Amino acid sequence: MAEQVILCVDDEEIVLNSLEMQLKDQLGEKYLYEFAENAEDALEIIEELVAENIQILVIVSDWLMPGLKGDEFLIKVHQKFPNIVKVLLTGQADKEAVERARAKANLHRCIHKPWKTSELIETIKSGLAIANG
Amino acid sequence: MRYRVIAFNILIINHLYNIKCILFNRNMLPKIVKSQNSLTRTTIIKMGVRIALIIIAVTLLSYWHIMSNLELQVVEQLNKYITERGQHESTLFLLAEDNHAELKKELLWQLEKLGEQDPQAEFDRLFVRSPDGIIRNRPELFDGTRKTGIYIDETLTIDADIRRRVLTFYEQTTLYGKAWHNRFQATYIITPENIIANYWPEIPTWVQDATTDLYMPDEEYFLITDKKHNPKRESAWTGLFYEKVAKTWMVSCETPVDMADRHIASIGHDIILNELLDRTLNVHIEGAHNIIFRKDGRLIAHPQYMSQIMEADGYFDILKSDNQHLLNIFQSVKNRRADTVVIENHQNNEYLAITKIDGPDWYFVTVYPKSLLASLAFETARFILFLGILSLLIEITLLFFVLRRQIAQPLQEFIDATQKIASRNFSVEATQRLPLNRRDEIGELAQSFNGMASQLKTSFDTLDTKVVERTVQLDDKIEELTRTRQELVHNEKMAALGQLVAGIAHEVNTPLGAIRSSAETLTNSLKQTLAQFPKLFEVLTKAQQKTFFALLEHSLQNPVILTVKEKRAAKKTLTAELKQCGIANPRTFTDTFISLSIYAKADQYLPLLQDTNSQFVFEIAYKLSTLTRSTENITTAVERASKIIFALKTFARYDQGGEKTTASLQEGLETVLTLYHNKIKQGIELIKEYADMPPILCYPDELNQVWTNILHNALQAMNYKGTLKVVISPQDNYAVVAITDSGQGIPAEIKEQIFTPFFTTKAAGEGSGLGLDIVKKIIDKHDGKIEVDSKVGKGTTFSIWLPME
Repeated sequence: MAEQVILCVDDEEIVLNSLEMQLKDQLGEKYLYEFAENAEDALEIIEELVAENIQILVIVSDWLMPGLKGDEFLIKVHQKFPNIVKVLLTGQADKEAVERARAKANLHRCIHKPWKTSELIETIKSGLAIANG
Repeated sequence: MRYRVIAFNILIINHLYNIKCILFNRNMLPKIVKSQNSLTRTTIIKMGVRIALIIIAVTLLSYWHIMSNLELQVVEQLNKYITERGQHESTLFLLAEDNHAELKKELLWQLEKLGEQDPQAEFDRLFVRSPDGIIRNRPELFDGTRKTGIYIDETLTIDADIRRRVLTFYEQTTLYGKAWHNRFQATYIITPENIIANYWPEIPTWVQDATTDLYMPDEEYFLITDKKHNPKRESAWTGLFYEKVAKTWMVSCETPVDMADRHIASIGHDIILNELLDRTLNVHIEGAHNIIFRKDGRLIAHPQYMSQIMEADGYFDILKSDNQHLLNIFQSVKNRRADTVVIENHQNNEYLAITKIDGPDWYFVTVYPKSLLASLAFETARFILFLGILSLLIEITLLFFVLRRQIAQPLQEFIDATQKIASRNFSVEATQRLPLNRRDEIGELAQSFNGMASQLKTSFDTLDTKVVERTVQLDDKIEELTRTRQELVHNEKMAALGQLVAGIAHEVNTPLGAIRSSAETLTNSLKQTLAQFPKLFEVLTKAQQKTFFALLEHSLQNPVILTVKEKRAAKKTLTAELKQCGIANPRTFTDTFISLSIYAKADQYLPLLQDTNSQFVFEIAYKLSTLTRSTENITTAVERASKIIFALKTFARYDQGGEKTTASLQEGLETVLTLYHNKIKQGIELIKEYADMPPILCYPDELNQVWTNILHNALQAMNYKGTLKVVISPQDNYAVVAITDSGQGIPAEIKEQIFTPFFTTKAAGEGSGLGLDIVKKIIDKHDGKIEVDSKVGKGTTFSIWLPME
């Protein structure tokens, strides 16, 4: 079975840490988890994984990041990988940016920080369901 | 002379009038006035010049007037004079002719009475032939001073006729000669036979001195009576001639006597030159001279040419001479209109008063040079001029005094009053010395001035009151404005803050999210771990348990912090390591290792890894690690959140405290940077160089405002992308904070204006333009200074110098 990855992108390490622990806790060993601090690194990781023939299922990304903003990043990803479930997890997002992501990146959902665990897990699960179904 | 008197009188009257005018206008005693000299002086000079001009004009007029009058006068005078003189001179000459007429009559009568008698006895008794042949009076009987001298030519044959005539002539000449002697020195009768009966008491020895050379019929004085030269048988006059015997110059009147148409005698009178000349030359109008000349041009007498006349033996002809002046005179006289007595000789600039001396028909001319007139007139005019100048000086002096009193002094008083009023001295004393009582324009001026002064006073008073009022109003307004400004500043702050709030919210939400998530994880992990712990100790051997706890300890002791990227790389290395050690599917294990902060030398834990329960064990280990990690996460997140809130709190403080406190510049900058962290992380590289500096005495809240404003401008200038450098360093006695951005820079023209209130390059609504104004004011409050260094296109550095005490 090809390994499946959930990619988290956020410029705050504390977020990435908490996401890592939370997701592992909630979703367990079913998936592999990758973490990037900015869109550039994220894209690098994506390239690597694709090269290793590893499937990326979900990307959870912050919006306000140095360099490429979340929406731009997701749009870019979507161009190559339209099947990846894309979620914006952000403390502050420009409404237009979110709309853009929805329109051009097929954004699944935008979750605001501080997020409820249940909301996050539910979003991922539903996203996956749509992707698979 | 008359003219002088008249002129003098005119002038005196004129000047008396002037003086009266000046004197009667004086009011008060003179005061010494110092400063109006120039006014007085110019007036005097002007007046002086004008008066002088008038005086000159008057003098010239007088001169002209006098001249014309004088001319008339002189002409009249000359007229009278010459007429009188002519008559006077003529008298003598006419008398001579009259005398001769008398004597002529008598002679004829006597000769007739004698008839044919021959008075030889008487003849011989009286006369005798002298040794030289000439018959003369017998010396013993002859007294030349009382009797007539007889001279008979030596060649003459004496006959009865001769004797008769000689005796008659002898008697009559003596008789008449004596009678006429008071007017004429000599009376004589000459005959064509060269006989003379000469009564001349002044020359008593005439006949004795007369020699045989004497031949009278050839002399002029006889020739003019002979029939040839004197056909009319009238009296005739000689010119001036030299009488050889008497050796003197004379003119003679000769009258021919004819009896029975025979020229028997010529009666003669002499007018001795000296007498004639004496009168002609010395009796004249002062300055003029007299000349006598004959109708035919022969000059008889002239004060200057006497010697020439004598040299010419009496025959000085004007017409033949080269003397232009004389010629002019002669021509003028000859060509004059019949009755004119005084004519002008224009060429020689003289008047000629002409009269005839009856008898000889000579011209007696008084030559009156016009220069006499001129000098007379000039003298008078000079006198007038002198008087004029004198009066000028007097008038000027008087004018000087009057001006001083009338004009200069009141002016000075006005000036003083003006100065007093200008220095706002409105007291009575200021205007009391003005000449208010005068009735002329100056008095009027004084009155108006007074009125003006009191008006000024009122105005000033009103003004003062108004000023006080307005000042109060102004003060109120200033207070209001100060309050408004303070509000504006606060609003600025809030506006800045407002812009940050969104970012700050995000900044706070992030840690909150992490906290929530980590807290949950913590709870879950703890639950699970506690539940599974017993199982763990069942499963693991003692040795394995040891390794396990060693693993945990390793994890706790090894707080090497790696970035997410680094962790990923480490993960890879570790996975490869474990693979090498023969572990299949090492990924979960490496995850755990990484989670435990163990990034290398994982092989020591092989026993655990190779155990059948390795998965379970490592799951627990992982869960345990999450406890620590979650706690750490929460702590970090809390700190982050606190930092932001603190910064916010600090910034939003409406603290206008008046006292300085010691605060760390670094802390302040960090506070502000925290607030802006959200904006900065979007694309700005932040470089911080903080030198180790002690806290300084300052107003920390206000400095935070400074950092905020400058940072805000810097970020905007960079458009939130670029490099931001913050440097704190000590220089001299100052703490220097330098904030550099890599933005668009400030052009040189604007650089001066950026601190101006309300100056902004942003569009309306985007910025109030007060930011840097507030910064400047805060820096001034710290006694610091702010410098701007900027290059367009490269970036800007704001350097703030704060004094360290």
